[in-house]
Amino acid sequence: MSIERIDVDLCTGCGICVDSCPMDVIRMDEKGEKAIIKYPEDCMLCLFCEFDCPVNAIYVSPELKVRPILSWG
Amino acid sequence: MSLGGSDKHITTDVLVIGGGMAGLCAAIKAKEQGIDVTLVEKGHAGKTSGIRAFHGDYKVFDPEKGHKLEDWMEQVNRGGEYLNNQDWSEIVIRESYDRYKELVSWGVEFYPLDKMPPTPPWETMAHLSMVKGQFLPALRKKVADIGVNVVDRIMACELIKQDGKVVGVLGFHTTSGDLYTFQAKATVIATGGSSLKLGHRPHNSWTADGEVMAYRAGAEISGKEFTVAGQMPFRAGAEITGRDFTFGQMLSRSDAWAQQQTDEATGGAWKEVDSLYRFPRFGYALIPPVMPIINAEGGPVIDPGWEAHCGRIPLYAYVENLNPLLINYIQHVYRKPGTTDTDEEGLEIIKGGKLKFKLGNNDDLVNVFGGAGIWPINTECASGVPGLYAAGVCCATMASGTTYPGPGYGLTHGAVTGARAALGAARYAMGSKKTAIKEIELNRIKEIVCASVERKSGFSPGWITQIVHSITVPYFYLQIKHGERLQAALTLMEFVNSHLVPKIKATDAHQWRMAIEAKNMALDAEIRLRASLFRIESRGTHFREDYPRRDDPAWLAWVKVKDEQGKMKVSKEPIPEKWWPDLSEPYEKRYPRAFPNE
Repeated sequence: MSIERIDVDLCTGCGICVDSCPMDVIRMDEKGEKAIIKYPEDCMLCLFCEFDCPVNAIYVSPELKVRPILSWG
Repeated sequence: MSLGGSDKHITTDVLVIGGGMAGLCAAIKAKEQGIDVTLVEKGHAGKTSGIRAFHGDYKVFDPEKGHKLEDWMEQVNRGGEYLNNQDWSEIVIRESYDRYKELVSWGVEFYPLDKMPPTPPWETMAHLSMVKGQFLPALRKKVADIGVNVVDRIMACELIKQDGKVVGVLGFHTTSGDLYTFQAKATVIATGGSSLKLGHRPHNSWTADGEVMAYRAGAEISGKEFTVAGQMPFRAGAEITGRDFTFGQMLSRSDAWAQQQTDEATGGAWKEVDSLYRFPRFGYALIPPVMPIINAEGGPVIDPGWEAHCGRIPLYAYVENLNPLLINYIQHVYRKPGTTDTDEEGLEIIKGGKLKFKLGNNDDLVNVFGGAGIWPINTECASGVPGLYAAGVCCATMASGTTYPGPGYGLTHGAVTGARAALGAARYAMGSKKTAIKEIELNRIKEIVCASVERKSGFSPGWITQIVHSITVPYFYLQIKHGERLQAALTLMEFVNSHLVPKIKATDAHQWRMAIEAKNMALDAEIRLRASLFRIESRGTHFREDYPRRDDPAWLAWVKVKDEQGKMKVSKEPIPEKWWPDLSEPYEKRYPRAFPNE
């Protein structure tokens, strides 16, 4: 589903992906050292983070998880 | 009251909301007038704009290259089915060159002509292309260099009005949760399109924030019954979003032209396909519409969506003897992400034969660029509310009309309206005194903005979004429309807005943004439904099953929606007679594209 992982070993904590995300899905961890996927349910699969990551640490899967149209809540 | 530790207060002459093409251009242009300018963006200005996923196509009208104004106007007028404001269409076309030169001077790079994406065979208006991934950061850099105060991750929520004028905006920071009050002499809304967060294009940040903010402040909204047909594969990546073929792009072309194109594409093997080119909607096709399509019963296809509605799916396309121009175009459009290699689907098309159509992905239901949003009362993009201006996709100049005129028109419209709104707002700001915002009014607005974080319990923003989707996504509401179904959807949407939306609960600053977006989308959906119900005819991208014909001259008119004491008032604004089509022409000649059952 959408954004799948940010490789902890590769991530340099530069924060570029945090800025790149239009939907505020990615944040820095509490120590401010690594980027984490905080709100995956709001990923819209634009791939900006994957394109912008200078060390290729992000993988976005091609499958977009779409919520069912009808919902019982 | 807020989730953050402190309230912030920023004073400025001109506030620009939105950091995409129009917003960045507006901020630069306003700053050049020698005043204080602040730009806020709910994402990161210059990085997260909805337009970033697209090619940076930009129309450039240059008489020295032999471009003729009447040709360009003809394409827009016919394609827009005479619902374009021809003054605005002409402004966008004429000023495109000056804005282009200006963009270059601001550091925006354009591809040399030999590196341009190929022009679709049906396109008459020329366009250049800005270097992908470069133009927005370049504009951001210019904005910073020139001294605009940029504040990222600000969700602007409500306009603050005093004595009938807009004097500021209340928002919050989506990371810290701090409340931000912006006290501004003039405000330019440049918040982009509205797409109802359908997730099939990277447009989810387009939740009509600016439009509904302006609506709530008393501005008129127009063009909401029309949507650009868009079709995306699920991997809607930044490198492959050129794949948005729609029947809507088959503009201003006669059947003879369509037949000629088909002959060229098929080597004359396919003859009875004229209806294929005549319906401007839905764009379910992943295949350029110059290829003949048949339905499951072997009959011709007026529109893939209609065929699905009638149960005649799957659809098939026949691809034989493609000409080099089309092959070139397919190779460009069907690329593997990040490469220039044609993907498997593209290779399959080029190979030819009988191809099964892909149906099922939904439109993103985005409104027409340059044809929907805040109604400008003059050519300075002023809304009817003093101190409030609009630019870009959220400004209903109606330069486009019922559908999108072609590649590049949207960004050109963004640059042109950005500049005009900026000059209007700057002039207004220079003639205005600083107005202190009264505490009592600010507190009233704070209560509205903070309602979802103040609640102890309630509905999640995600669930509300799902409910809005249930009422807008199925094709039989906003694509193939019918009065009874629109009324049913409207009844539900009224309930959502009156009962569910006030009970949205947000748990943190991120969810707070999602809550405001859900609220905005729900109101946007109601405006769309009302406008669709009001226009009792079919035209362009608005198809009513119960009124399948255009109705000239009764509906040579714009639909405007306005708040009146909490009620949505819908009205008609007639189009000046000088812009009407020639009514002595037979209907079929006036409107070469057919609607089903018209």
